[in-house]
Amino acid sequence: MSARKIRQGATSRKTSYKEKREAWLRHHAMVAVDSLIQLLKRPLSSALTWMVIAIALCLPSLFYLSMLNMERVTSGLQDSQQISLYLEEWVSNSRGEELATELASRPEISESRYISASQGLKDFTEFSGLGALVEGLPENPLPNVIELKPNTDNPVVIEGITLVLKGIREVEEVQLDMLWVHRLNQIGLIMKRVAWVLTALFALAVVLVVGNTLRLAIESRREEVLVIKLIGATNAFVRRPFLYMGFWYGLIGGIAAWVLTEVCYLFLYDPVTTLASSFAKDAEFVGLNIEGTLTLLFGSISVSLLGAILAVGRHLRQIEPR
Amino acid sequence: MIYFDQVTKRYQGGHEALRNLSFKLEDGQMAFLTGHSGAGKSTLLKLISLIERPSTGQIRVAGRLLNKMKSSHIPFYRRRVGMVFQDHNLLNDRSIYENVALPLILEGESPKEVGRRVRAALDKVGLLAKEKHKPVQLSGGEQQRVGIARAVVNKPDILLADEPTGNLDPELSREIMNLFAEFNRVGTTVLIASHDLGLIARMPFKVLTLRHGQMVNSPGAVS
Ligand SMILES: Nc1ncnc2c1ncn2[C@@H]1O[C@H](COP(=O)(O)OP(=O)(O)OP(=O)(O)O)[C@@H](O)[C@H]1O
Ligand SMILES: [Mg+2]
Repeated sequence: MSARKIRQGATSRKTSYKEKREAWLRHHAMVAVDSLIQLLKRPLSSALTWMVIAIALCLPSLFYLSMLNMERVTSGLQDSQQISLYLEEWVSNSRGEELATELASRPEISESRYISASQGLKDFTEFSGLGALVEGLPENPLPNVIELKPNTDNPVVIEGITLVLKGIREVEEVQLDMLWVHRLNQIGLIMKRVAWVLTALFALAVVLVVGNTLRLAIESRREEVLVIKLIGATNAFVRRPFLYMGFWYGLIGGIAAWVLTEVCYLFLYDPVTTLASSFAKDAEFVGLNIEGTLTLLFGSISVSLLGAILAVGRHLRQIEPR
Repeated sequence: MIYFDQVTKRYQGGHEALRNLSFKLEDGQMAFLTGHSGAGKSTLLKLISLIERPSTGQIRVAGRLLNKMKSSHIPFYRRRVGMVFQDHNLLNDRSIYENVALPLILEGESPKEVGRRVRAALDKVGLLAKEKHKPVQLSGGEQQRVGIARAVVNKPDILLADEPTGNLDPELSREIMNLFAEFNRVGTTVLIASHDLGLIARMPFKVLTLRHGQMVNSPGAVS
């Protein structure tokens, strides 16, 4: 057999595109499983990394949950924006009702309701359940009140309406209930900013943790990397197992973060629901929905992969056969 | 064909390991590379496998000019050049089978084809029975033979070996050299760096002798 024939035999055996792709997929599956096994072979250090990821991602997702719930509660309150007119002590019930009807006919007011001092006390007793306390009062501390609903929610216009109402002789004080709703919304906006900053910082922490873990993994497999580079592994081939490790850190760390978030959620459910229902009836502390859960997992995987890509890009380049 | 034209290799620090070296090894030829310690044998092999680049001069292997080869092409080139190392360079946490299979997996062969060829290669070096063992469970000579099986499993055009019999007994050394001769018989170009002058003398192959980085015309050399 001639030398030439052998060599032709070796190179002319063509692999089809389909075969190549199958081999590629098979290799990926193999590397994916293999890198998970590698992680499980060092249960302690892997579990530590997963825990760090879980804690780092649990905090922003809890923050996200509290924002979500706050938005739910305050959006319910926005419908009930109203102006309360506290009437002077000398104003009689009949004059009060008259004034309420008068005001309701103005174009900028959509609704009005007169609440006498005694009615107000009754409502309060019912609402608060503090009947005994109210009974003990020597006299009714509440004024007569007219509640108005403005036709607009433009804060500037409402401000103007308030000024006009202050000018009415029978009115002692005007209170804009919307003001504190507005403040609550502002707090919500600030919290949103803080949440973004927190999320970015914790994501960075995950990038660094996964990056450092993989740096150590690469260092401990230095010999192996050298050997497979010597026998003709491409950079992509060398990188692959480490990138899959990054993926597994992200996926399992993300699942752990989800579990941790759920545990915190259950722990907080009762007190938060109680608090929320004092703002709005039937308010409930809602947990992570499917969308939120997927975002958490996807985010965790992306951030870990990023850490892996950075570590691999930086450290594998330095390992060249000599 | 391996073709060196006026090749100089200067290491960092200025030491010239090879100086104005020219030689030629035809396709399908087998040759030994000898010389004193520090003569530049390993350096020469490293230039062929592109572990090192020449400082000046041209190297041509199987029609390819190595000087200008892009680093992204190096992996594919290395798959055509089988290498046997003195210290085996096996992966210690993988079985013998997996070690030998690596070059085929790099090429994306199907598991069936991998199995067939790995067993053929292991059979050739007489280690078929130990395919499930880990490298540490094998003797030095056996590990060396695993390294050889890995180097030839994807039928490379060229086979390089750096002191493959370095610390083996004479019997085993002869066996391993015969193995190389066998691969050469089916057409592989073989270049072996070795100290073992006694053994080399008994084999009918070209001998390239290096002294202080330069080629010495030695008896039996065809130039
Ligand atoms: N990476 C390196 N950096 C600097 N000098 C080197 C390097 N590698 C080898 N050398 C020097 O180049 C010369 C040739 O080394 P080489 O390893 O090629 O010799 P050798 O013939 O293989 O010797 P031995 O038989 O001992 O293995 C030596 O003087 C050595 O010190
Ligand atoms: Mg040497």
